Amino acid sequence: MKLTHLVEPPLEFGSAFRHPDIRFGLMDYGPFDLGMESAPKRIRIGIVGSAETVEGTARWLETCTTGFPAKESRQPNLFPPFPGTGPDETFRCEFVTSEELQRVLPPREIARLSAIPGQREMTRNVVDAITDEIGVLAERSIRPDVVLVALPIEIIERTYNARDVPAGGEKDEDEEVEAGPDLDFRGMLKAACMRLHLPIQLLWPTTFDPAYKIPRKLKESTDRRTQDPATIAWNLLTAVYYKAGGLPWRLARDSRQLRTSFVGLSFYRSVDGEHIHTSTAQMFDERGEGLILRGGRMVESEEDRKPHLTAEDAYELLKSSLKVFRAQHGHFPARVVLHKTSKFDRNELAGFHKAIDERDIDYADFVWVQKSMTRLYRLGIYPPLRGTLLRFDRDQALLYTRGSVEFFRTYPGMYVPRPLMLRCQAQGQPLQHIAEETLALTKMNWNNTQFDNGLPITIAAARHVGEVLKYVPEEQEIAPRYSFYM
Amino acid sequence: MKKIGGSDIIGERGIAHIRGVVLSMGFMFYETGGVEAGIDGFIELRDAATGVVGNLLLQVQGKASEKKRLQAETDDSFEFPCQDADIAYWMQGTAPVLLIVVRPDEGKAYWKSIKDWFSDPEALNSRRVVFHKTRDEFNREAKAAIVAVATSVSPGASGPSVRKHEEILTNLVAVCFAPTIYWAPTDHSTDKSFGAVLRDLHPEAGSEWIVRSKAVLSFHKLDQWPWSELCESEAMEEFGTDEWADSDDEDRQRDFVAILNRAIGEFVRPDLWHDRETGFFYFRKPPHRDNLNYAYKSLKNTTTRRVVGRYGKRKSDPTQASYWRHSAFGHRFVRLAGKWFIEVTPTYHFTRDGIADDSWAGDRLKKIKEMENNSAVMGQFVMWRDFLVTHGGDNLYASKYPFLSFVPIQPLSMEVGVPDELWKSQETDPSSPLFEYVHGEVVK
Repeated sequence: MKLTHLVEPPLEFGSAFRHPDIRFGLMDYGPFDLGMESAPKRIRIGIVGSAETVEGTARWLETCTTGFPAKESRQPNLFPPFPGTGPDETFRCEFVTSEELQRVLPPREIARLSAIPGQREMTRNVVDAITDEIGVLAERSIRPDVVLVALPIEIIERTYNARDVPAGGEKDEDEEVEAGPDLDFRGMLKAACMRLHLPIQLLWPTTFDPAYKIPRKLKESTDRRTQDPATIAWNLLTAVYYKAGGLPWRLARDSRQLRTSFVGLSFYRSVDGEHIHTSTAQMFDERGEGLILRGGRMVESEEDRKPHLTAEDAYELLKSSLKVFRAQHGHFPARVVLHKTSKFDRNELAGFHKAIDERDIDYADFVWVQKSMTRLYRLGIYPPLRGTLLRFDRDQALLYTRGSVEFFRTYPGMYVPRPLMLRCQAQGQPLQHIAEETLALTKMNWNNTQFDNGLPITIAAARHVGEVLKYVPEEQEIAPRYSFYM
Repeated sequence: MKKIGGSDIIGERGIAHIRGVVLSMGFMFYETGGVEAGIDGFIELRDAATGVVGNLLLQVQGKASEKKRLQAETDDSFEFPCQDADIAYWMQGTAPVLLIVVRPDEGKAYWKSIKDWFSDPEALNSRRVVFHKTRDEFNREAKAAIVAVATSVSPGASGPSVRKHEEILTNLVAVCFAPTIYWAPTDHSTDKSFGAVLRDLHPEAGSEWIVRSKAVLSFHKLDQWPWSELCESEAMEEFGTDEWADSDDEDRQRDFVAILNRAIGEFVRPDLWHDRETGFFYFRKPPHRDNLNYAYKSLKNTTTRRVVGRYGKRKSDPTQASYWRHSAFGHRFVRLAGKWFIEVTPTYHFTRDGIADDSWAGDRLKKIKEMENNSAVMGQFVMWRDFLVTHGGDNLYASKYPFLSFVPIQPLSMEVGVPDELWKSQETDPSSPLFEYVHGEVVK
């Protein structure tokens, strides 16, 4: 058993300058696409909500231009200030809204909606009402780039699902929950809005008013540490920047390294609880552009009672993913890395290998990534460092992605972190390299500017994707960009 | 980590000197360890007048020397040669690093902001630092210059990882099992039917057996009573347990894990009970007492821990306890790098009266997890490891458990670590669980 520590992987920002941290990298250098034609310069933000929440959100956006001070602490790297928005600040981009980009749900309508008795019925009605308003915005000659859905508290109370986390609330990311059969308001709403080709972002009143009174039952289920205004601004605006088509940062890559496609494979369960598992692929390139594909049904295997693809479906799914990569980049990748949270069975291996061989891709790594109960303990109150790598074999290792973070000078989590067990079932690169990439991919989560996420984005994205796709009928074409799911 | 040897004493003298100077400036020095005679640490700058800490930290690399004459020494200066590895290390990151050379015999020290020095390509090539004895002296008068270095750091800068030798425990304990495993065909097709007949015949029979594809696999010799009654013992075959333990066949591995799970269920008796629902093993409440303490060897010495405790008062009847908390663990047998281990996950089990399940168990466990941290969980693991390693051994009451035993594995070491004292001093957020630990009582 060999124990080593991986250095925190750097990210690339504007003009390819590098920094290990997301927020400081953005502050110092601007987003990765700074200066590129595709970079947003002025993001038009639509807002839908009640009169109160629309007004509050618009005011909040205004305040964002001047920024928010850092939370008082002796960990300035963990709690930096938010400098503000504008052509020369942070994203080097303006975030604007105006009345033409806003739609208000009148009080009568909100009262009517919250009075609808059945949970299912009520949720569907709310989704329809909000989607209609967004639809109106979509039709206008001046269209918003992203729509903020500023939920009024009456709606939140009725539609809140204990697993939901409001934009601006911390969550225990260690909760790796598959998109289950419960009625998921957020998923339904995003599915409905997909055909409007407008990415949306949900937010709670606590975003623009941290002192807003949240009913106790909602408060209890969210993490007891609510975020400070600077952090809320960081996370929300970064997500908006990405949804508007921007590329805030990317993995730092050596030019000699092979062009790689990182694909996460998972599934979601159907809403009606009929135990149908549909596969999904979340494909990310080095720039973090995420593309989503939906595949065939998965069947629960007798051996491990987990869903698996047939060889044919595995082949089709990866084949389509590679085609999409090619459409995006103009060529096939030189290397493919597959991440999966259950073991690749014989059929899946055969199907995936076939798709790769067909395109003459020489380098492939198939990695089974799982949260592990195998743990390391330091002598002290702080858990092991993020980046700690314990190698058991040439194809199996334990990697800490959460844990003590050198840059933050603390462990910003609860209890003791769970490391990831990495098992390579096909290997084109040494295990150390695969572990380094996995660690780097945990920093590609556009919803969180605190980089120490537990899961690589290939797997973390699955939850959001499944949550939405289960409300998109099978025949309907799905929006490929990850912006519509996150 | 305790170091031994002469270099240790030089190092200690060096630390003492640096600390003395830093304190005279009104600042704090946090030692973080370092390797060989290196004195690694951080200077924390404070406003001497107000005592307010300004978030300014400077990483320090100290070297102490008792040499009578340093390289190229004159009245005004001397040279300090540097190893390539050290230079590479110091240049990592963007935050400044101070190199402080201490001469304890002279009672003097000298400092340089090392990134600035080596930013000059000639200096870098020469692989040495030239110290000017007057200008670069590290004493109270250097305070302004030190502050200037610290305040010039841009926000978000970070320095090299903290070099610190650390011992890391894993929550794995090595498993040894009986060398022979027995197989025989049987008419029974399920564990259930086999078990039912077995209980009738001999209620005390061990459960270290499984039935698969109309055959029974067991650590017990199947040609002996009561086993012989339940299978075709004439067709019994003996195998080396390694044939299952080392097999790559998934079914065999699964079967082997099943047998090990049966064995550990027997192994932990009578002290531990098993909770069907969670799969946890937990200390049972002693029949005529409320609490149970368990003595074991921790990392440093022998200690005891309350492993069964009565808590609270029931609202409906204050003479009754609200619940009992039992130390527990979850487990999994895993094969890593060709060897078998048991992965131990410390946890708690809750009962309302020492026996029946407590309906609030979920909430109670959640609350405990909000308070516990690495140190607490590790302490519980060490206890369980000691239990597994010593339990089932020969004692007055029983002979050694024959089919399973456990052996601790050596801790692993790492050369990069966490500067605990420094980080703890920065925990000021009351809502952080670490704050409670640092400033409050330790939860045992």
